[in-house]
Amino acid sequence: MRKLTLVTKKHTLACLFFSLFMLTAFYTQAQNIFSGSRVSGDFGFNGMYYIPDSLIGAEEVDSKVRGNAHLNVNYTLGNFSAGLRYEYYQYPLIDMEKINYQGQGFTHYYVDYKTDFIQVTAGTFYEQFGNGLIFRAYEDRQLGVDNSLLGARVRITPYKGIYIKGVWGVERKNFDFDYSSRNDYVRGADVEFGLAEIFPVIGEKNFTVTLGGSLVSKYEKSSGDYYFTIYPADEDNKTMIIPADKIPQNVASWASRLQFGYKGFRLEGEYARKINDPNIGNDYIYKDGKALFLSATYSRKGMGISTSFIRADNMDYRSQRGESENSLLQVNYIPAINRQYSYQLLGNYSYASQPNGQIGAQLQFNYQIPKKSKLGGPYGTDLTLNYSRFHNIKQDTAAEAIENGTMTGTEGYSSSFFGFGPELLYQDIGIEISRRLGKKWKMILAYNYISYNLELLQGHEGMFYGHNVALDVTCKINGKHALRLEAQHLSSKQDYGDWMYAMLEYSFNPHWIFSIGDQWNYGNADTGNRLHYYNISAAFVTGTTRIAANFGKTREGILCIGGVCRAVPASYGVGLSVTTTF
Amino acid sequence: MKKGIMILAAVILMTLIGCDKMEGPYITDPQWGISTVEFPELQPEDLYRRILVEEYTGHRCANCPNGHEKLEELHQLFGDTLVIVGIHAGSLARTNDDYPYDFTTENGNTLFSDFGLNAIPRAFFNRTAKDIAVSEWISTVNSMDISRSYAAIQLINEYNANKLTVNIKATMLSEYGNPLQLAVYLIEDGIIKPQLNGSTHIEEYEHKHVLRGSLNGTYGDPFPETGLMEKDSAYTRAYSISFEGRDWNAANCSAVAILLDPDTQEVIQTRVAKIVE
Repeated sequence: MRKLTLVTKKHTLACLFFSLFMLTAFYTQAQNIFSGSRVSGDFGFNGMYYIPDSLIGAEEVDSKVRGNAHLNVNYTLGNFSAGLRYEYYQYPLIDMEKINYQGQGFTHYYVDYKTDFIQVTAGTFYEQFGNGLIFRAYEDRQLGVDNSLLGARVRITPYKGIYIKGVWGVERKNFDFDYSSRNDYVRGADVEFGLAEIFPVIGEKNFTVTLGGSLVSKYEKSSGDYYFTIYPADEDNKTMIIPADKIPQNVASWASRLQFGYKGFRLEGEYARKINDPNIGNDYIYKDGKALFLSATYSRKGMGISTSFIRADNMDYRSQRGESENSLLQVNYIPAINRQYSYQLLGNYSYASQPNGQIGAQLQFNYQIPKKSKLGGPYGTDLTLNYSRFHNIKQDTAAEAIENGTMTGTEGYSSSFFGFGPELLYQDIGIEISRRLGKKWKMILAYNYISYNLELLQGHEGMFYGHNVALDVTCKINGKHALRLEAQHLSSKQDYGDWMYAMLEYSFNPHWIFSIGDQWNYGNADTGNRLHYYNISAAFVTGTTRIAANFGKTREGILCIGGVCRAVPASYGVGLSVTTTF
Repeated sequence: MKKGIMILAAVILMTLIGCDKMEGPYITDPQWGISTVEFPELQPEDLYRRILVEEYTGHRCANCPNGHEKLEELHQLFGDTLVIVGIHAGSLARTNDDYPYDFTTENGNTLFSDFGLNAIPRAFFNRTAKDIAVSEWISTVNSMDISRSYAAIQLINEYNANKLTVNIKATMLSEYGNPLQLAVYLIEDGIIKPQLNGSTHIEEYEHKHVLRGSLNGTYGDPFPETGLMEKDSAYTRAYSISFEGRDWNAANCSAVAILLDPDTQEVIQTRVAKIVE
């Protein structure tokens, strides 16, 4: 054994010397080869010291200090690029721990070669077909979503205006890198014709027309029967099975899309379908999935109007049929088309897109009251009105499902395409006025009336109705100093009742930003729970680096970005974050 | 341009192939129900670990009667620690004019093929000691570690009007990390049919432990349906089969319950009980 160790050591040393020698030689020789290359990337650390607080529900964290860290490095040389990302989330912030985004390792690595005709990528990559209705591999660090594919991608431009993409790979599942045990993968292709590029005469007349289509299929081995219970009306409950050979291993989906533009007018639509995909999210039903997204916008100087419509039916599409947590292994993306807000008090009532059943529309009108008019004032006033409403889809339960007392193992239901279901999921009526009040002052005043289905969107009881008023005032004292005040009030008889929020931010350009704020649940029906969630923070910015520290409390709730949401646990403590790009 | 279109066509073709459109009905009855019988308290004889001996044999196999004798010897030595199942499979189990009775079963053929047997007589012991020749059967049983009993199985058979219901209760005695499956086999003793012995054709040979089939597939069903069996928990189930139109003699039949780990193939407990006491 000792001899073996000695040999191994010798071998390691020899390898090391050889590597060093090669590296030196390579470096000397490579000076010319590598001239013109570029290294870029970014680093992020987000840590927190947790203090338990039983009142707000902040749990004790054993290790006290937690943190997320990542480093991205990209290297580009001519047509060639390569990159990798290392993530250290072994002891992550509790937000990430709650959604099982925990572990460490190289989570993104690729090599890419690109010419005008072809681009090939091997390794992990992100991609989207159209609006993502059947395929979107993306990353959102804040949400803890990373649906990159490990495999290969080809993009071809055979002719100006014709874009073809092909993808093939296995989807990332947080920090589970045991790909040998995976028996699922995704493949797909997309083609897009930019008619204004192919036929310049179209472009010359200010038209843009784009046609596109995609096909995606996921494979997942079906290795076992699926057991479930039926509840017949006149018999005892009974365990039944979907035999393995009745569980589709290959689930295909396709989508077609059109974009049309003329001057300030733009029309866009995409329709998608997915074949039978019994999975845990849809209770193992065999109905096809369907989705339609439509959008129309018109804008001219000082005015804009946009409207969009979405319907999604049984379109939760994942690499593994047994997965339904958050966005884990999600192959597609059904966008949320409602207006997105950054108002603190409305954050907990953000609409989460419902891929398995939603129908709704959004209408937004923007108008600029002209400068120097009576209403517009010397600098003009921006006015935004919006309305959005989403329902569940109308469902007529299949006869077999009624007989069995469960939809599982049946076609599930039928649904008239434009039928609104009885349940209101979300409604937002909003008005926002943005106005410059002088050389130094700027103000935004907004009002929203939100109806939010707590039961279907968060699993709590009932509906929430709330009036929210938000005021955002900025005062640029001079070129170096600025003050910003955010004040909000949310009034409701449901859920936690009334809230108010105020935050004062002082910027000392170019390096420092300080803020102090508090959310106060002063109208909680339970007087013992009329809690304050205060926060103070300081940030130092230099170049592309930002270092920030904060101390305070975060309330339990949800965080949504683009209709994709995750739970946020209550926390209290001191945070530190460092980000830099290079 | 041409290259691009060809690549596109290839990818579209590959994706289209990746489409399994299913036709209903999608669900089936797993052929088992909830047991309604009362099981007695666990007795000491319920607790120890038994060994499933699967003997692969055939009526045209000249050496197989040696195996049958060895099994008798094993049975004398180890008593009801052994649960014996005789599986007629392979080319020497085929029928011909001299041996017209078909002992083979779909389940037996599946096992024979899945385990890749080439010769008989051979035996498997708890499916961990595999493809063992007759000369090593005793030493194999002696060498098996059965000191740890993971589960206790109790069997209560109900036989009425040609219908058999096998009631099974399994109680987990130790932690076991993998999901398990339960298979229920039917065996029959005392079948008088021809057998080749060396070069002698024996017209009236008594075949014992003959596998008649499984009540729930070769490898059984997940047990319980979802997840793991938990220590100190008990699970019950009832399987039924009709004897109508079959030449099985219920008085000579027994039910064999086999609790197995589908991942490792190991049989972790087994039990046999006569259908008619």
